[in-house]
Amino acid sequence: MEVELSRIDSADVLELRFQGVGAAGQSKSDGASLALRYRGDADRIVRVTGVQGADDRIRADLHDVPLDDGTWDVLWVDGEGRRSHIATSDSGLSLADRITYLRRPRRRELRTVRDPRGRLRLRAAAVVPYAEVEWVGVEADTVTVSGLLAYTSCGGGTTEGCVVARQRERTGSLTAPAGLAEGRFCAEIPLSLMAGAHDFGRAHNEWDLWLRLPCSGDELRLGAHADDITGKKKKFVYPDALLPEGVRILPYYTVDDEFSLLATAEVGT
Amino acid sequence: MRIMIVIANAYGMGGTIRTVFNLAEGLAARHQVEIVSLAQHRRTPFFTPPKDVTLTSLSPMDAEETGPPKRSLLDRWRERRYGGVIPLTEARRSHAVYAGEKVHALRVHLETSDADVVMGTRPGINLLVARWAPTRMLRIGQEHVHLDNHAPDVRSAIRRHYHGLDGLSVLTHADKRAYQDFLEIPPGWLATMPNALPSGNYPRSTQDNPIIAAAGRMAPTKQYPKLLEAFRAVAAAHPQWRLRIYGGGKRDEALREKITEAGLSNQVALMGRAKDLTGELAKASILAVSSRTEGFGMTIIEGFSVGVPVVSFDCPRGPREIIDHERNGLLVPHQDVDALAAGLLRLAEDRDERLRMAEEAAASAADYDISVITRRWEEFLEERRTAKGRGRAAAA
Repeated sequence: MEVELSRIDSADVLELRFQGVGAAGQSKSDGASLALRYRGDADRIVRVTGVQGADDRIRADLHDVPLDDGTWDVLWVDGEGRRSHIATSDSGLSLADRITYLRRPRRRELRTVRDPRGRLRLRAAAVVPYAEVEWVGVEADTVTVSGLLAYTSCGGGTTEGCVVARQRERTGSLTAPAGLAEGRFCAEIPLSLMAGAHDFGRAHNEWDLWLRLPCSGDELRLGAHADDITGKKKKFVYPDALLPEGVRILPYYTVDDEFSLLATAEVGT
Repeated sequence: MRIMIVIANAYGMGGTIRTVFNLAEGLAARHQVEIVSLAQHRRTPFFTPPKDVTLTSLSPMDAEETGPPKRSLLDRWRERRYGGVIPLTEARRSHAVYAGEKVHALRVHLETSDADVVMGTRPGINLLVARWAPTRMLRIGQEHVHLDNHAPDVRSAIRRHYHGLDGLSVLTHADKRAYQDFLEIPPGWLATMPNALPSGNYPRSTQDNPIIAAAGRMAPTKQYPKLLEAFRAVAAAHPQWRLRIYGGGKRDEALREKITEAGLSNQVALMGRAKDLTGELAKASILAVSSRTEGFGMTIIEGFSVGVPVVSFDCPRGPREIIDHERNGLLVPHQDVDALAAGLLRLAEDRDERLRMAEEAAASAADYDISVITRRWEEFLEERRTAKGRGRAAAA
């Protein structure tokens, strides 16, 4: 079975568009359906019920289907119960769809993936709400960061929250105001805060950043997980800022693609 | 036919290795194919060797080996003896490949093999094949680099010894013309053989993602700083567009600096090496090529294969033979960064144009399908065998 489009929409409905019209109609009449097989354990198979066909596509609602975290093969099950892989020519990435997906509150994320052999897979992962970083600006004494709330909301209109910076492996925190509007945030972080609190006894002072929501008091970790790029630490590079206190501050992504600031003492200070 | 393909190091990750594996896979459908690797630096090859192809290492790794192998007097004697065959520039490129004991092992392997055809894949190996492969074999050289890119001593050795080959393949018509001017060539001896796309299911770009891709190792010839300059125009006009550069190598410090200087930190990702490059290219909508020179341009046909049009400098030599300007991509004047920027901007702003070119690009990729290229190779080898037979009969 070959499909040219394989997408998860924001309601966790898997949509498959077949190459050649009529396949979906045929599937309905044949009683064909889908199944998910856990990678690494061929015996763990979840039958997908509620598959609906229309014209050249089928839709399968996966929202309430219990799935463990991990990667699942998406299998076609024909009218006689035979299972086979689904080949997809969809790369699996739609940046616009991913942004839409972030907008809905959820605790589990589903993504479609095309493996190097062209087979369709589904990746399930438990998620917590976070603040998706879209843009970082570095000036002489500030870092501006903006983006959107992921997997949560904070009402409509314009409100003010704050960005909380916590020095890793230390207590205490620093805060800077953050504006929120229509699910988006923007904060200008004065770097003098970190420079003033710099511990010169440590080679590195890492400041992890959180967005505190005014509506609930919840804190969302800043990070970048919307697209398909993992390992951003080595893939994105930002300029640093040298503060008068002799502290150099560099925005970076951690090994978990979370967003932090790295402060180091300038050599010679 | 029994075909032996000799490669410097089948365990690495270079473009030649990838294209040799592709060709071996195509030929293995109807022939018995063996890939012989002079060097081996890791236990398993980076690229999966093709099915039904034998991989023979002439320097298998010893599991107990902890340091560089000891060199015996005999090895050193062999090295001196073989030193006259491999030009110094070529030998210096990789001692691991042309070490005396490995070259000796190749000579023994050639003498004891029952192959009908032996192919070299770079000048040093072609020279060894020309000098030492038994005349019962059809001796073919493959050139993956343009003649001008070879050092004077390599070119000199080519001029003196390539006549010992029964045939030579080059990647482009431009290469063919260069060899025709350089050597006295019998009819049919020289053939243009583009690289092939391996078989398989390719994804297809939807042309929805605002992503420009570029691919190739971090090397000065790729001119990524110029690509950054060109991309700035796109990034300024359309901040949602991203540039993803796929390429291995550690020499990217200057590029990292350039990214921050240009204010492109949010929009440029250095993706590193991609094992499934076509899978990655299919996520993009445009492929950019900013190279000073391209021996062939494998990335371009890989972009075509997933329906991604290409905007490229009209550099020597591959791109102008692959890209049909305005049909499946844009060729802009060589080294003209503004023109590269204008080309990228034009396609970034016009999805319909991209879709039209994507259709043509996918159709163009069919010319490089492994089945098409394999057939061309088979015809070349058959013709060369016939010509060799005729030559022998005439000599008798």
